[in-house]
Amino acid sequence: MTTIFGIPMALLYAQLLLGIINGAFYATLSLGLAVIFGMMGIANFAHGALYMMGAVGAWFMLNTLGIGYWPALILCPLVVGAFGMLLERFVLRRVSHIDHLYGMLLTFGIAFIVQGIFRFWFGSAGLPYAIPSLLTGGVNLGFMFLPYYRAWVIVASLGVCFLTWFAIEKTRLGAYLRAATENSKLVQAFGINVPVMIMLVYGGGAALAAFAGVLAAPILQVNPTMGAEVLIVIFAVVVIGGLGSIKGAIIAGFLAGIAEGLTKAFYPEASTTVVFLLMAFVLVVMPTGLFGTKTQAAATSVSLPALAHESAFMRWALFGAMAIGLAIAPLFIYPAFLMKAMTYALFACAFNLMAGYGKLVSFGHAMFLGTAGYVTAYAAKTWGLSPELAILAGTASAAVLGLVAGWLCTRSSGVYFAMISLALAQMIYFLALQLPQTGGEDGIQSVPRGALFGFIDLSNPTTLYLFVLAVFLGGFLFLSCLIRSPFGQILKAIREHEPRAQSLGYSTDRYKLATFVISAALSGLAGSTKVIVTQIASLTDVHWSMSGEVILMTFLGGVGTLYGPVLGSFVVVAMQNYLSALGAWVTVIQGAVFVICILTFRRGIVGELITFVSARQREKDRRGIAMPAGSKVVTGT
Amino acid sequence: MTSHKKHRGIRFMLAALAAGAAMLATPALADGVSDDVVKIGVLTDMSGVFSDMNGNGSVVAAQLAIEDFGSIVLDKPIQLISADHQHKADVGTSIAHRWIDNEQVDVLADLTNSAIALAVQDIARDANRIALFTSPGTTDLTGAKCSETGFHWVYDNYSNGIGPIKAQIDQGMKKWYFLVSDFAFGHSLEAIGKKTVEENGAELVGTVRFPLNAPDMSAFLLPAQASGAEAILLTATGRDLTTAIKQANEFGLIAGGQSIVAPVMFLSDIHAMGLEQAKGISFIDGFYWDRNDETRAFSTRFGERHNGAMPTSLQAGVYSAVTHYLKAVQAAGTDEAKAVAAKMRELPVDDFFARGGKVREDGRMVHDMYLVKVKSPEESNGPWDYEEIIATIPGDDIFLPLAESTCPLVKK
Amino acid sequence: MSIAFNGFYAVKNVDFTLHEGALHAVIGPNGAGKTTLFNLLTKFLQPTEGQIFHRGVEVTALKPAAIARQGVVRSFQISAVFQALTIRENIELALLRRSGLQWRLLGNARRDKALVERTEQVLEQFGFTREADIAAAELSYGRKRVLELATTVATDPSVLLLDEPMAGLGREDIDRVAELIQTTAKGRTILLVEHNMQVVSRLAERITVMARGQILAEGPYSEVSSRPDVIAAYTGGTH
Repeated sequence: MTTIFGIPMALLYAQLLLGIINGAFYATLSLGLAVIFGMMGIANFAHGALYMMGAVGAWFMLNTLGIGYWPALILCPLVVGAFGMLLERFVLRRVSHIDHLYGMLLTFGIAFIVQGIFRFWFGSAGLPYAIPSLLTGGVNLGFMFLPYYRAWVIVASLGVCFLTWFAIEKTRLGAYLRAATENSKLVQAFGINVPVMIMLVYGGGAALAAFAGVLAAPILQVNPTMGAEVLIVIFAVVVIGGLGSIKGAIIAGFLAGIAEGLTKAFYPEASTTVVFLLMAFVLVVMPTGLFGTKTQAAATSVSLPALAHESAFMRWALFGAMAIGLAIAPLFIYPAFLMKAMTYALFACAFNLMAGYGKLVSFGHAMFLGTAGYVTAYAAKTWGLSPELAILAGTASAAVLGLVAGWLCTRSSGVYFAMISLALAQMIYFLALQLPQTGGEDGIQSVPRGALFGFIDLSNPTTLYLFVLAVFLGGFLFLSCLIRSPFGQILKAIREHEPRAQSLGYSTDRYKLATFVISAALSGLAGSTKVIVTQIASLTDVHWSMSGEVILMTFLGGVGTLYGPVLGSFVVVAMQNYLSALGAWVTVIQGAVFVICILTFRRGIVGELITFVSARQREKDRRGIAMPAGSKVVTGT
Repeated sequence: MTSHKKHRGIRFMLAALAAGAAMLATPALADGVSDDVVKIGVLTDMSGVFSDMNGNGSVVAAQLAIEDFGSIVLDKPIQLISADHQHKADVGTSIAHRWIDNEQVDVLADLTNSAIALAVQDIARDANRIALFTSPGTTDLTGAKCSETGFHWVYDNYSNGIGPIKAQIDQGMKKWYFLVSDFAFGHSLEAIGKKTVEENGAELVGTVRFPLNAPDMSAFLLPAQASGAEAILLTATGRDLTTAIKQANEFGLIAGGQSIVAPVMFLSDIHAMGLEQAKGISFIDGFYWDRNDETRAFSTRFGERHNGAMPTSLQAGVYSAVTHYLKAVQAAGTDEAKAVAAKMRELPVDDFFARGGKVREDGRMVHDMYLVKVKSPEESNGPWDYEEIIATIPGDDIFLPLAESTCPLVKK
Repeated sequence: MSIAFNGFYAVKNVDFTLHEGALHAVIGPNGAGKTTLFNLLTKFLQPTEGQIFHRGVEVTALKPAAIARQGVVRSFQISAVFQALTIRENIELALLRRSGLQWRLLGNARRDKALVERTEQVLEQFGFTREADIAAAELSYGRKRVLELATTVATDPSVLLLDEPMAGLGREDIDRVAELIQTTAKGRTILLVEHNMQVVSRLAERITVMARGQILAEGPYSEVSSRPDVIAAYTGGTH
């Protein structure tokens, strides 16, 4: 028996074949995502939920309606496709005219809601779905036993991929679709109903996802969380292929499957992470993916909410109010909750620096929070460092990580930036899981609080609270001063019109990198402090759902404002803690709040408040300003 | 201007200090019942992968236990609260802290997820509260991290690790292959398993570690299939377990004659897989609802409140643990943790869950466990008729002997 | 130099020299490659073939910010001002680098007296003193173009590249801006892309005519404007 690196040849072939099968499956799933992104410019975060709906739908049809696999293969996609169309028509369309980021965030919230509801209805353990009798059994290929169903998966996937590609690239309808999404106004002038086309596109993508779901039901475990887990892998696949390229998604799907298959043969623990490694590698070499054609168009920027009139007094008064409020709050509210909220608030503020002022929404910010947390926990527990040194170590590690990650990420923008930051975060997650120092699933527990500077005892609840308060206020103050500094001004300029800033001599890449590092360091500070407070460093802090949470907090409170992230994080932490008795409904509520926020008050609570006040101020100004005689102001357009 | 605000701020903070310190001081525990209520907190996973084996069912079980006890102990009411820790260590620990600091919770139960369990063990120890671990598996709870007020009730990685392997070796399975879930729980089972295999004259022909939540396990099953091992130890739980078994069937592993041994498996897992997939698998369970009249009586009442689903051993364990706790409070005349804990160790555990059970110094509740096999669909006579009890294994044989315990409380 | 996009030559074999101190205009019909030439010169695009030299030093591989720091500053075809910032802030921004403040993380730019003084100068030079603290978004289009010119000039560049500065302006504004360009031109080099022939004839000393990505003619206005092939390029093609 010949072996390669200790693996017998037969086994290697078998893993490759399995990899190709999985690749076919990935290709089908990514296809829908690629179609939606290519045509609508929206990164559809609900794709996983739609896939799940297909699988659960198949189970439901079998168990409740008696409809078997073969009809379900057609019916489920139709039903889910219809749902998708409704979703587009009544929800997504409301934000189609502004920055595509909001469409992406909306689908993110919708995914939460759908998943939460399904979890409530169907439980989490899993629903059994058998392989259709026609396809049970298999054939012995010599090097492995290949179940007939798996062979069917390849055939079905290739068929669907080909049909979709053909429909979009070669048919008239496809041509209309492509034209409509490139220049909708022009195409509408020709009498083609563009809104209906867009609805069809989203519905089509949803149907593709559901088809993949039905395909998966007999072999993978059907349960409401199946979508969430596969979603980020699918995003990685689409990014590898190049956002917007259908051909790319298909090829990348197979590539990913094969890469995973090979990893499973040699180093199985890494198999769920290898896709992200591949993605990071591809993006570094080819920033728009293998076949990417869509360069991130500069979308209509949502301007930063700002007051028309602002005085130093007002700024300090507001800060003072917050400081005093937080100082006396422990009299009325459980202090542990307040401390947790403050550390998250600092995290959100740091994230906001990138997302709001830098206009770079990262989907992997948890890597800084978590890495710093682990380093601090390890430093305090194993090396016995005093808390301020441990926190310093944590923050420094986050800053270094920020430098490396920043260098890789800031070469892209928009969705690519989001995806590559996600990929890096996944790799950090993998490290956190595997390294013995981090304690894997258990995390690092019983982190000592120690004595600050050697003599201030942090196990005393009041000193601990004051310490956390000081860290939070300090970080907040630093950020607010940063925004008003020359550096901050340049950042605002870059955000608005990057080429202009470049033409004025500012190396925008360096500024973006610097912002990234500062944001990472402050996130690290938040993570380190959090670990000292909760005395536990766990995988939750490096998981991608934590990255999602900080996005939720920031946008809910008001991205691009100073106090927005603070308010947002307090609200979200409150929701989590005080609604924890509701169980699965917490995710649904969070998703619903997020969706409502994006639809109706997308500047966030604080953002809308500022805009409202600012409009009133401007009204007053307009009535107050008298036009001076002989004015040189030209009445132009 | 900054220093101005700082001075003002400091004065306010000093005021807050005084008030805060007063508020944060824990109420002194007098004799008798603290806060005039005995409050039980069920901290579990209500929405994640383990919600079916614990979750709401644990709350139902606790509720039944309280009602059967009369809802009153030492003339004070018994209250129940519950929360979902969503499998997150920090959410779990913060809920535990809040319950103890603000909600006057006297005892915490269920505590699924080993990481959270270990954290709560420390929290409960420091705050002098009782912790009833019915769900997590880590042997550290009665080992190096044992506590006077912490009790491990249903199973642990040792009982479920050794028993099934030994039983299968006795049945003639000499060649073993290990499929290990790549995290602490899996590793600890792997270590225990390896030791058992080697000590009992069998051979371990290979091991593969797979990442958690891998949707497709086929690639890990292939080497197991190719190895020619007679028995495959699958140290996975919940969803990973059901996926692996489903795919093992798909690839003809079981049809090909290999046996799957799953150390940690529960009734809810069988329900999730369906009998067609799970048939023939053997494992160790601490309780089966259909074992005798007593268990059936409890389970029917449980099912009425839980959508007709029968209790898993974890959920039944909650009933047993909470009942024993209340009995101990009654006997001790107070709900102060150490006194109650002493009574818990003193009194025997004798209910439908564990006849002749006892609580040891290390906090381990020792009771008989059962080697069970999953029925095939033909053998099953009705809904939830899933398991066939093959053998009863006495508690003393299946749990880690006290002499080998690393618990500091055990006097050697 | 040349630049090709997927095989299509937007600019082909263009051999272009800009003399120091000159006021040079580039004209041609739409699609001639004028803005592309601009982008190449200001390093927003990289040529697929050829080299660029500034004062004898090769600058082909530089990034846009780097060439800007050498004193080669451009304006944009579609007015590029920072809408959310006030007029004063727009000018301050242009001046930050000159004052060495561009990496200052804390503190306020207005503490630098030299910066404040220079800002006032520029505001006055371009007539913005009274409205200095309103947001740039509130200005009329014409005034925005003037602001863009102001920020470009504020950086004290040695070479100014103005991309269609008159585009979209009304009569009065055109006169104003032309006057400002003439004043600014003293001691500097200016390269202008423009469609407005009156302005070109008034301002430019030298003219380059481009069509279909190549240079058609070069010389003083009077000479170039009467050439038949230049007229053909304008009337015969797309205009």
